[in-house]
Amino acid sequence: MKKGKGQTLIPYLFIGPAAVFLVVFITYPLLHSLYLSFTEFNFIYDERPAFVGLANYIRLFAVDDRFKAALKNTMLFALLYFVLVVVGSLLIAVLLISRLRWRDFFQMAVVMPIIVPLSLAGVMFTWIMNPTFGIFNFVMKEYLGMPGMARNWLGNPRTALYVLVLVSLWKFMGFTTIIFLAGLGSIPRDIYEAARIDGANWVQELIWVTIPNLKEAFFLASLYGIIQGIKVYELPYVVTGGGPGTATLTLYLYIWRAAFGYFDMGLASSVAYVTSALILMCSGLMLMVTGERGRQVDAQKVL
Amino acid sequence: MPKRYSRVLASIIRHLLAFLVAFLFLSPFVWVLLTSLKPRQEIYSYPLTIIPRVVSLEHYRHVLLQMPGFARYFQNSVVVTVITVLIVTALSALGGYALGRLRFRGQRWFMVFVLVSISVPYAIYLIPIFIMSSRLELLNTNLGLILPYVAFNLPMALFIMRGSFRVIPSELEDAARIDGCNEFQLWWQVMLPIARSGLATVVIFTFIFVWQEFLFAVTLMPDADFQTLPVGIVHLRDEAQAWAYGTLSITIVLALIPILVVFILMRRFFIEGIIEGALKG
Repeated sequence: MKKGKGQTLIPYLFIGPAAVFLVVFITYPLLHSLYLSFTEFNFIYDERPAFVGLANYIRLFAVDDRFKAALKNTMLFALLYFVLVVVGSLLIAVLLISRLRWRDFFQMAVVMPIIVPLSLAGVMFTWIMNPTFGIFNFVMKEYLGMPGMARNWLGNPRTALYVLVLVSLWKFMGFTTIIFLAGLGSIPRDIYEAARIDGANWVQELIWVTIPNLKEAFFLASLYGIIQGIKVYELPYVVTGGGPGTATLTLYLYIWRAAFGYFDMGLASSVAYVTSALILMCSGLMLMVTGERGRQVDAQKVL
Repeated sequence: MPKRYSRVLASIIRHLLAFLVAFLFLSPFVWVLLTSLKPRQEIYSYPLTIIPRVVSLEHYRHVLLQMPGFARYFQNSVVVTVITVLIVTALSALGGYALGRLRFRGQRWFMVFVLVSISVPYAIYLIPIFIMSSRLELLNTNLGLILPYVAFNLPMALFIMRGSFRVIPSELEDAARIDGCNEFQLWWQVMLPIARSGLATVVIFTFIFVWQEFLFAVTLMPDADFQTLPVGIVHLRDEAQAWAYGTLSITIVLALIPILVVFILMRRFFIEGIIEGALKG
């Protein structure tokens, strides 16, 4: 084989096609939307963006009540969802790793909703929660004898957001459950044996073998949880339209409305950057709290 | 004896809990499936029935024969998903090899770039890509949706493939080189077959992503004719406010079948993918 120019070119042939995609559809949009966030740009009327400095950001935090509502709702949603998904899937994983007949079936059941597009989950649950023809209220009233639980859950600004949290949990819990199952199950047997030879009792095993392994799972599940929570979009779009009022208006929904309802691309871009900053901050916080390093990479499909 | 008794009791409680959990996760599917088999009057009668009193396929007939919209959405979804999966698989098989087994200038930076782009929420790309698509007249085209989908799935796919190539022992590479393989033969004949479980992971993750994607689909396909299932079904629902639940439930069942098949066939790789991402970094 020839050495020299020909050979140094080969790696670029392999990576080139992927690199082109990434530059055109990731690097460029990333920079372009940063620029747009400092401009005023109505896509329908304006010929080109007009630079306005920080005006969009100032407007958001100073006067924009809808943005504040969206920020508040998103934070509330994300926090609730995050806590429930981590605790819930850990409990389910502990249950599923115990000695169970038909374990595959149970695991499959929990993982199943992952395949349902979120918008379809929204359609399904709009109907399940429908006050007249929905099964939820009917079962509460007729089978469980709890007429107090039969309400117009989605029509009430005080409960609508919580229903969306529940639907998200139903949809995504399988993901974090797998993470915890892997954490619980992948601890190599020989580490336990080594610990036992060293004279460790089961408490020491728990502290020195099990928990350190679960730490990674905790970190990952938390990361998924908080990011999923901040990104909430399809459900309010499909189920409640952000309502009643602004009760389920979220940041992503705000971005979409600003950009494609009012074609205010500058303002929408600034909210997109604020949201991303929020997500990165939460991931960073998670990194600090758990002391994990180099694991940001696993944020995979949640983003 | 009491010890044994309490163990049996604990086991029963565990199983009851597990059934409860499974029930909570599966009941929405069961409800949709059962409703799809009920005739119209039964769906809207009160008290509601859970098990259909009469089994009827009228809604299936209606959706399949008289709702051209649904067939179109379905077709769009299949086309967009299949093409995206093919491109992502090919590009990540190539790029992952360069990242995992070759040396080139800028490699480290490229890797940092890949990792950063995995952690940026993709709403940030939405507005510039919409503007780009509209200028290039790619709105309402499958291509306009496929291109960004490929880009969004590539960072993770590259990362997975890089990992699959890296763990292959270098003795295999040396042996192949001694046999006179050039770089492409080495990649195609020796390395890629070994890395195929990584490819399977890429396929299932990309498939699930594209089959479900809503945000870009609703933005880049403003016209109903071009929408994919996740957007189209919402659109169908909105079209008629008093939309028949029977028809609705069938569109949901049918929309889930392809992804269910893929998921069941490739479940192992999906779970492995999560675990690998989770625990091996």
